[in-house]
Amino acid sequence: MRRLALVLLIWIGTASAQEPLGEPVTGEAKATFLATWSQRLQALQGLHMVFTQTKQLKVLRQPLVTQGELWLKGDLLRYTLKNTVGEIELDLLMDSQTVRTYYPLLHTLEVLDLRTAGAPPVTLPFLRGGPDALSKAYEVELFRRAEQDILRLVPRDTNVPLQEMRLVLRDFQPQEVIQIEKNGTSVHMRIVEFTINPEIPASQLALQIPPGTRVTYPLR
Amino acid sequence: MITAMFDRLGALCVTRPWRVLAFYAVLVVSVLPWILHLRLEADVRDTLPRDIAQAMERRNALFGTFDLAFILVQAPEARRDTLLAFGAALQERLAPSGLIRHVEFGYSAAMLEALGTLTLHYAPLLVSPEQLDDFDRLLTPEGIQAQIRKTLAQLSLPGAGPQDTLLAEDPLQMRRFAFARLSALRGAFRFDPTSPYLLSQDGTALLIKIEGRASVDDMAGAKATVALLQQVCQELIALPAFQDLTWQATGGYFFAAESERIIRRDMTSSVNLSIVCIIFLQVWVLRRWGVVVYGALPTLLGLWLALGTFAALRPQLNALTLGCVASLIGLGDDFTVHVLQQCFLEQSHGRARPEALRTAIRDIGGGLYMAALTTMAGFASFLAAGQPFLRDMGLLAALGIGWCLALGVTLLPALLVSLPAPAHPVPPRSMGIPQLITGVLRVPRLILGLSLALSLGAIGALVWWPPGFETDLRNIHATSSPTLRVQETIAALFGGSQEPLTLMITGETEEQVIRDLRRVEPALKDLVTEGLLAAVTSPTMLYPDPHVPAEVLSRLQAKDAAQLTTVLTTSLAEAGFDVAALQGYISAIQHALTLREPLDLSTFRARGFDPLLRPFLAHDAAGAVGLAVLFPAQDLWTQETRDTLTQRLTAVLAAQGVHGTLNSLYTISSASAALISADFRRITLLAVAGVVLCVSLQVRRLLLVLMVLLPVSCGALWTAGFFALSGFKLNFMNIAILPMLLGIGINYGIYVVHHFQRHGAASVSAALTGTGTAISLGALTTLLAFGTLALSMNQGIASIGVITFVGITACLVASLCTLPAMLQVGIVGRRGER
Repeated sequence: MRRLALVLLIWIGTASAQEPLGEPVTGEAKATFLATWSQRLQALQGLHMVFTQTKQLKVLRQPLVTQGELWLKGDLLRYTLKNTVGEIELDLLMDSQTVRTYYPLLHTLEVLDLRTAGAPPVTLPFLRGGPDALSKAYEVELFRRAEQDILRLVPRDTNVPLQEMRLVLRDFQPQEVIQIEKNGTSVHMRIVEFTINPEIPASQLALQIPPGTRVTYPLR
Repeated sequence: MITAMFDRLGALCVTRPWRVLAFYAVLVVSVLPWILHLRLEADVRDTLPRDIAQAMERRNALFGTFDLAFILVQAPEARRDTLLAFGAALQERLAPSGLIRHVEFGYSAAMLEALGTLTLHYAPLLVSPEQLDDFDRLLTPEGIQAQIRKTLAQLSLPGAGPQDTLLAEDPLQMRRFAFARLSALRGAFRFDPTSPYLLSQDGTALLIKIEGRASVDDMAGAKATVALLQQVCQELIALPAFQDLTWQATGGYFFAAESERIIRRDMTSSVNLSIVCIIFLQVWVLRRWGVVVYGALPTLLGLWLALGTFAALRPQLNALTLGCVASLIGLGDDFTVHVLQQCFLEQSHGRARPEALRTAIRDIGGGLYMAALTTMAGFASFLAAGQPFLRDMGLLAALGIGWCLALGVTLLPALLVSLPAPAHPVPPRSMGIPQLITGVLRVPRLILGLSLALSLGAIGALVWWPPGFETDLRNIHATSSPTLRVQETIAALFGGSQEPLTLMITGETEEQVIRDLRRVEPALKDLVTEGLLAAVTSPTMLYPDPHVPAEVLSRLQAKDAAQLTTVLTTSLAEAGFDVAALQGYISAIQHALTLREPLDLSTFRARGFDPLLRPFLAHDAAGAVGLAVLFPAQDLWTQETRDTLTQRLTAVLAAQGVHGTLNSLYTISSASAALISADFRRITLLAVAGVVLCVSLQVRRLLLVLMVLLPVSCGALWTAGFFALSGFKLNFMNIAILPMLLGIGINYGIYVVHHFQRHGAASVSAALTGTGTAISLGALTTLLAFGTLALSMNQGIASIGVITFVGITACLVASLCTLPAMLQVGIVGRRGER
């Protein structure tokens, strides 16, 4: 389930909210699409993804642009985020209990216990399963434009910060995800590379912490 | 003399029946005002040691009753808004009720706003010793720059969520120093950390905590609270907005109401089943439908008069006492059974009813009187108990036995003689008792040998498997408790242990209490590390040790606040933050950097932390009280787990010289059980002494005294052996039945020996022909009265049924087999030899 959720996370599409969504797809065609998509996700065991994210926050004068890479295998998840000049700004490894965030430029490792801190630092609202689960949590609409399928998700729970999310897919492959929050924050992720079930060496799912790194436990 | 007295009494009743009936009619009506004024109470504190009861009372006065109800509302998927709307609607609907003190499902908006400001303004004062270096490093130009960079990196993580808001509002992440303290106040519970509400992490469940005004010991108040909550929840769930939600409830009020409901249902079904079975049995054995009316009347009126007499002596009755009513029906009925059986037997021999009744009363009155006195002596021993409900039970039962005897030998003959007699009276069924006695008397030595073998086997079993006392408190509660299941669901959803312990520390001032709590804090943390406790919450988790703020402030003084504020502003601007929008935040940090004085307790409270401290720290005229809430890592239902933890905690308090009291459902139940058990050991010894004395005074011959005691001794021994073999354990509920069993069992010996003496101690067979049948019928009615309790859902009550069933059966077998055999061999045989 977590894997499916992460795949969805990756599928944050490129089509901007202002862009026309395309022709609505309803009824049996929509059901067939969702069923096929769900079937494709069943085979997911691991993932490698490269993406570029642009995030706009009210409190920031300019958008945050990041290049990121993600590996997923079983319960282990690793992100690396690079700044605009290509330096690794943040290297994160998460399992079911702990999040370790390494800041190479600051020579600092932060350890967060999920049992006390609760939620992982990345709390995307659709981290709750595949297409079937999505339709429980969201009003799901499907649009078709050129060769792209666009899923528009509006949370049924009006109390959550998320206002709307769009997933852009081409032949069931995610290309872009757009997330718009009620507070004005927006996230636009473009997926550059997306490989399902790649060979991931064990070393790729471990943090290499150089000696002398300061380890902190911010919420302990 | 006793025989003559009963002869005169019998004569009076059969010659002037209407006077007797009128007398009782007046008596029955006259006790009504007393009964109407009798107050029923059920205060659990009565069953507790004085120090625990006093501690509970003080805690309730200072912090409220601590009696809670929990409503768990669940949605099929994440529906935070709907769940919170349900919580708000429930809060609104319950607010006007006088039964509800407080409804909580998270911090209020005002509290949240206040906390947002407080945790920034006073962030340095909330730093823990472990965070000192981090704090020191953060408040340097390099530290501030690094932190802003980290915040920016964290904001860059994929997607967006509530965490972004927190980071954007506090880029320096100063609130983290308060986070640990605030999350410690939640104990072992795990809620959605991104929400100020008691929501589950997946947003599918909301926990609503309701504090009532009534004590759970006030059954009427508890039931009214439960009814109100059920009604409001049902009304809300019926609204279209909440139709896909489900709700469940648990907590003290629901446990109390459930226990009362189960016990009431158990008792109701037991009494009804007993009455039906007893009536059927009596009609079948005595072969008269009229016994349905006149057979039950003396017993029922006896109970009524006993209650009236009790009310005249004592203004209130503990509700637990009513548990003995079912038993009294079985006990009181014995006298009626003996009179009727003897009377019908006499009638079947051709005597007219008045004469038959007079003869019956004269012949068996003495035996019934001796039996009643002995049973009353057994119950009188309850008056020495420390527990008020046991004293009430002893008095009510003794009065009940007395009245049942009086009515059995007076009202019953008067009533019978007033009713038309059948033209051809048939004798009662013998139930095969004469044949049994004949069989026993043919082989008395074999019977004695078998009885001896059984007794030796029982002794062996008792030596090999000594009888145990039930220490797992779950085994005396209902077998399947929905309320307990809801509690387990809450524990699974939100973590936390099912029932926390409260360590109550008292002192002269709140500062002293805080100091004492701080002294025991390291040891409590050790218990968390060892895995005995899951979490600890106390006022010291929030209010810092003065040494730490002092150290923080001394380090802060060495820093240049103005320079750090400038660095912060510059770093934010360089990182792309909108500095103008963060001006309020920068001012708050500046305030924190210029703090120079630690806050004393009263200032700490006055500045806004009071609502967080209030549930844990308070004072009254006697001094101050602080509470540490301890969440055990596992439940403490068994003696072993209870002892492991409580002994460690007691040792911690002793080592630190701190005066504290431990309170919890476990410790209260355990203390209550220990007190009741101790009471019953004493009562049982007193009952034995009282019964033996009573029998000795009445029978006066050692050999006959031993004969009277033989059935109950054998019965008790065999019962104990049977339970040792089967692994049955005594508990504080079924141990209450032991003195009653003693009283009942000894009656059988009295009836047999009394009749044996009345027949000149010459023929066991003649003595037992009628009495044996009456004993058997009486025993069977008692078995039915008690035995149906074995079907109860409440395991404690069910165990009473089991122990009584086995005990009475064993006493009956010993009375009808061992005792006749012993009388034959020991008295009739010896006389024959001489």
